[in-house]
Amino acid sequence: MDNTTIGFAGLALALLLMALRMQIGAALGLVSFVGIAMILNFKAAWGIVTAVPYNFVGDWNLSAAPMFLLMGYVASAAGLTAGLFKAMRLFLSRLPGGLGVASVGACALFAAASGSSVATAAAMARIATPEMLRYRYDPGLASGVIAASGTLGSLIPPSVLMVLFGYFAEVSIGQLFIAGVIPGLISALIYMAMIVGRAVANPELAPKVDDHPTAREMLAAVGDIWPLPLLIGGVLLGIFFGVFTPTEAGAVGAFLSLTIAAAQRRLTRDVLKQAFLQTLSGTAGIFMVVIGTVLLTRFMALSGVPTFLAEGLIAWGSSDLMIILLVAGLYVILGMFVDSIGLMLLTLPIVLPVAREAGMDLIWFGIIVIKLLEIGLVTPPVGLNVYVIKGALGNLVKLQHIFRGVLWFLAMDIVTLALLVLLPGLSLWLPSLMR
Amino acid sequence: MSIFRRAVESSARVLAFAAAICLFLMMAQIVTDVFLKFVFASPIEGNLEIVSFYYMVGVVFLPLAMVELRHEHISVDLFVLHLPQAVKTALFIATSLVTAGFFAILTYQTFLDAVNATLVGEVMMGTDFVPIWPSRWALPAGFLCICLANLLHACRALTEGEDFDPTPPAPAASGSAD
Repeated sequence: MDNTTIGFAGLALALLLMALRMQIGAALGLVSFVGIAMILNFKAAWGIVTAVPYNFVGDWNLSAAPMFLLMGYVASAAGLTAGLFKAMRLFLSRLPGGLGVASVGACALFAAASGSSVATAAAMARIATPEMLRYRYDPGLASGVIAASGTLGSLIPPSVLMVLFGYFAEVSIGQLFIAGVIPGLISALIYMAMIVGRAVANPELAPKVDDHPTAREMLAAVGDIWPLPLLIGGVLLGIFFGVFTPTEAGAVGAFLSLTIAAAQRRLTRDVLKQAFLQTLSGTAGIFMVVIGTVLLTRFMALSGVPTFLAEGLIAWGSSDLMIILLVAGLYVILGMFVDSIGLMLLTLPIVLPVAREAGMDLIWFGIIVIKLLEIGLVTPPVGLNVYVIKGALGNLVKLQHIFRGVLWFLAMDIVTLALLVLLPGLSLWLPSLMR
Repeated sequence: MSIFRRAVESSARVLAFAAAICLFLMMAQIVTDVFLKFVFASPIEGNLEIVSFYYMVGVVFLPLAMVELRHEHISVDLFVLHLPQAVKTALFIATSLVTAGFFAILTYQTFLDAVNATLVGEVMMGTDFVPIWPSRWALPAGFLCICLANLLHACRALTEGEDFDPTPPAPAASGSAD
């Protein structure tokens, strides 16, 4: 067998093992170990086992991932995120489709803090969707909005996906964070505009809510949720002005969310235990896949598969657009099975060399990849977020309704994506201002 | 069997507790460093090396077995979801054994590396020489424990059959926001 054949066979075997529910990191790692041994020899394979796990994990920049996870888990375990929907609702419910608009806002903030699309969707579905159904909102809208808005988390920094992408692409994680701000806001605003537009055109979709909050109630709601926007804003401004590295920002953010939770007397032993356990489980789980990815990157580089694909594409007359469309196709298909972090890590060893070969700006490409990953989470027939919501809501809403509701948001995502592709400045302008 | 199970579960707990301490120290030390840097313009010596090679290594490798015991490693459920129970159990046993094999490979090599690093007293050149060899031992410890956890799961699936449910808790359960 020549090396490229070994490479493709290895990829196929890794996919098979994963389909049989072997954990992704171990599947990628084992196939890479055997593949490297076949291409070179066993001595080289053992050597890579020596080099990879320790040296790659012992990295200052990657420490940002557990710190941001800790910040998010503390915030949600201590209930700092619990009042978000209520507060947003007080301010936005008088708009047409106001509860939907409030859901987008609450999801965006929750997701920015937690950094996990799936966790956002699961939590917000149980808070916001029943409220909207009570006001006779269309079930598709009431559930689709959560499925779609949950995905805002990875684009609105701080985002663990960006930490990992920056690491593998060797671009600045701080710049990626800042690059995500405008695309994240655009995504959220387009969702909101679409909801308002649909509610105006057809008021039956989203009947009016007769809330008349007093100034005191609004103040109380702000008092309930202010720590979260402050935390996220502080972290981002600190990175933007070069005060913190992302890792430092994450540690300070985690420390502040512990302090706020303690000050509000919400930091019980249970909360602390839960937040730490979830952070450790998240970190070890993600980094096991990262180790698999690093091993796969070595294996792929030795096999020549990425060069083979890149040369094939470029000979075929590929443009940036073509590469993006191919990645989009890949993610829509694979997004049915794997959540976004797993999917990104799984595909980067192939996708990154191709983008690099084509000379694309990797920060811009990173933003697009992350947007595509998130779109993959809600694309029929098997969007992962849709199933998470179905699981959280039980029999309240039918699966078809969720998918039908999501279609509108999917259309908006395609608009956003087109904007991001056609106008790289939307992603690259803010980072260009950084010191 | 029950002794084996208790041994694996309690070592996983001990390692996870050590990892939790690393996580806390990571946060505390970075925050202290930031504070000292801004207020006294004197950062902690070797902060980067200690965070990267001790805390980060501990946070990633020590909880591996705990994550396995909680069935929370990242995997793809979709294809096996609708298979008959017997096939599912058989596949679970097979993949657990293969996974245990992979972690055995990692345990063996990282154990040799840890022994070597200890013998030469490995250090890292930062602003100063920071000895890093002790942190090498986190890898064989974490890998050995997850290897045994996989074996334990294979045994339990074999002996307990359908009573043993290797599905992870639904994401909804870990959302924890309300």
